[in-house]
Amino acid sequence: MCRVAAAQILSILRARIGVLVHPAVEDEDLRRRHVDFMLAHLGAGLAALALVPIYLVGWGAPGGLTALALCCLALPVVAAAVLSRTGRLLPACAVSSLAIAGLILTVSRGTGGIGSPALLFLPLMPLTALVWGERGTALVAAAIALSAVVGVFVIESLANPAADLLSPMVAWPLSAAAAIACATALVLLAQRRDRERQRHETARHLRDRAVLGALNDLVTWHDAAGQVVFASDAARALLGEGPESLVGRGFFERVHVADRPAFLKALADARHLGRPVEVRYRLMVPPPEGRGAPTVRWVEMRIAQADCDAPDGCAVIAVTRDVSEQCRRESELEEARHAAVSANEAKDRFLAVVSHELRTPLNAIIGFSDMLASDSLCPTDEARRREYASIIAGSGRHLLDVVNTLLDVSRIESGNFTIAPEPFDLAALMRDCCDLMEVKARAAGVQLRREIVEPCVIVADPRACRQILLNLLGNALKFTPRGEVTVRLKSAGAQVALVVSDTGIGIAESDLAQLGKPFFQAHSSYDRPYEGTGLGFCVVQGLAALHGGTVEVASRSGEGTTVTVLLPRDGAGARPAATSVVQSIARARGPVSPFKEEMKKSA
Amino acid sequence: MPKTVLIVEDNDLNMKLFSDLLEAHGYATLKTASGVEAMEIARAHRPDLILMDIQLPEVSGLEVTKWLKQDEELKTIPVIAVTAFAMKGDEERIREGGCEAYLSKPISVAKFLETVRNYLDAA
Repeated sequence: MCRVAAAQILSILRARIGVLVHPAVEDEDLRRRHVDFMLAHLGAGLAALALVPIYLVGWGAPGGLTALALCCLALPVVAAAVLSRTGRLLPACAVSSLAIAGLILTVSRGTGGIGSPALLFLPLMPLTALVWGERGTALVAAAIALSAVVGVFVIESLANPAADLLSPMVAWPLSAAAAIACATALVLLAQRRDRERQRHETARHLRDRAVLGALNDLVTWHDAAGQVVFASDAARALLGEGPESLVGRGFFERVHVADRPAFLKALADARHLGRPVEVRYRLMVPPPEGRGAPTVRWVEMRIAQADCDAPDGCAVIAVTRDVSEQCRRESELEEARHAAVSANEAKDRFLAVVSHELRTPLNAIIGFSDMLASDSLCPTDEARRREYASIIAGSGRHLLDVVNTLLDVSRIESGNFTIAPEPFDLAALMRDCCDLMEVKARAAGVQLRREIVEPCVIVADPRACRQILLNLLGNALKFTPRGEVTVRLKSAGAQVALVVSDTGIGIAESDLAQLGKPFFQAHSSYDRPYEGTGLGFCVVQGLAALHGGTVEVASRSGEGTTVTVLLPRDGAGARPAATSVVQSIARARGPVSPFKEEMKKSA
Repeated sequence: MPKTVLIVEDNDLNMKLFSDLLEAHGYATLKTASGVEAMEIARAHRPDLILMDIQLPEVSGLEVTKWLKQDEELKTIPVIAVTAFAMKGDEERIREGGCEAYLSKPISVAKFLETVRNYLDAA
């Protein structure tokens, strides 16, 4: 308690006296010494002055000697004043030394002359230079002390003219002079060593600063609690704030909340395990001028135990490096790898499905051909032989369709599909397509309804429109086991809407977004319930895009699907080639187990 | 009494090919395009052999084969997979699924008949 109170009082006094320090004194250490000097001298001088009234009350007016002693006691105030005015320690120390010498002289005069124990203090005078600093101080103090010795000798010789030469009258001053010289030498030596140490320290300090300044990495020293006691200038580059903002809890508060436990653990580990620890975490970099959200920066921190017992409490040293760029590159690489893997998987699935779709009609073609060619298997019945021939022809045409669709997708994807827009009646085309599909619909037990406004002349590629319609109708019929399929042609401003809706099995919501990505439907799954390459819808999208149109799909699982193709009426926006859809393949994510696939609506 | 073959195949043309081939050789045939129905037919008629397509609506031929092989009474009926899944590894996976034999489409008529005959004569 007492010590704390004393320290508080002292710090208040130091602050007050601080204003007296000469403005030319800038060095922190020197300032402190000036403050200490003035504090000591003002204290001593004012205490001495305070004794004057007490003396006057107790002993009356002082004699010559006592008055001189009192003057010497007050002289330190003058020393403090000199320091404050000049800002130089040397003259102040000289005044101080004069005061001490004067005091010793007067006291020795009153307490036994040459034998006075007060004279023992004279050799100690140069030692004051150890406290106040400069070499000159020690020499001045020594000179004053020697003068005091001479003074004592002269005074005592006058007082005892009959003294023996070998008496203490001679021996004492010589011994005192030797002692003073010895003390001075010791002080000079000590000061020299101190100066050298300081020079080394300054050099090391400058070198350290240069090293820290040359580093891009932020260097921080942390105390045992993880608080920063020092941060290097690199803080500015990393966080946009000066190093002082990191001191204390500043650094910790900039660590991403989710990463704080790992951060603290790494600091503690480095301290306790005694080996360097590395940790990667996020730093929240405050926005410039404090506006907007902080940006996140990934950093890597290498922490090592500080093997110094530093007075500032430094326990670990940490080097923090910005690895945001590296992290970004790593994640890009991972994404690219993932995309490549997905694309490869998609390609494998695609090949498997294409193989399956080609082999199915080929089986009928080769099988029936073999039968017709075989002596033992060829049917004797003429009608049956014709039937086989027509099956072979039909399967061949189906095979051709598959191959054509594949080629279309391939050309659309590579941008080599060209369209030839011309004015024609879309309503008539739709009627034709419906007539064509009517047989198939009837065979499947599905009612094909038409709501077509006629005539409807648009500028587009009739072949592509026919393909779009046949694909959509084929899909709708395939996925509508019973019920109805409706074809509508509507006007929609500058566009025409070509709508095919069914009451079929529909598409699960989770699959809707994937629809139209090439190969998506192409699952090489043994569970795949419907035949088809799964590329029909992809062709529809590609052809619509070539016309500057769009395709929308609305569907609910079990309730049916509505596909709306919007095409510009005047052919505006038609492009010679579609943009590649390869990117969308790359975006199709997720590994696919070939055995456990959801049933997908495939075209 | 002729040997009976159950054909599970969802493509009409291929169904016709297999049944015509088998019937021409004096075998009786049972036909279905559905895996679930195949189980019922197998239970009711106990065919001597099953030809199994793998891609079927509703349940896959592989799944139906698994059911057959788990059934104490039906598991002795040989199952020949006849499928257009003919990529690398498909045959291994299908045989692991319990099928006794594997024929890829397009079939060779001679090999098809030979395989069928092997299983029926052994039975």
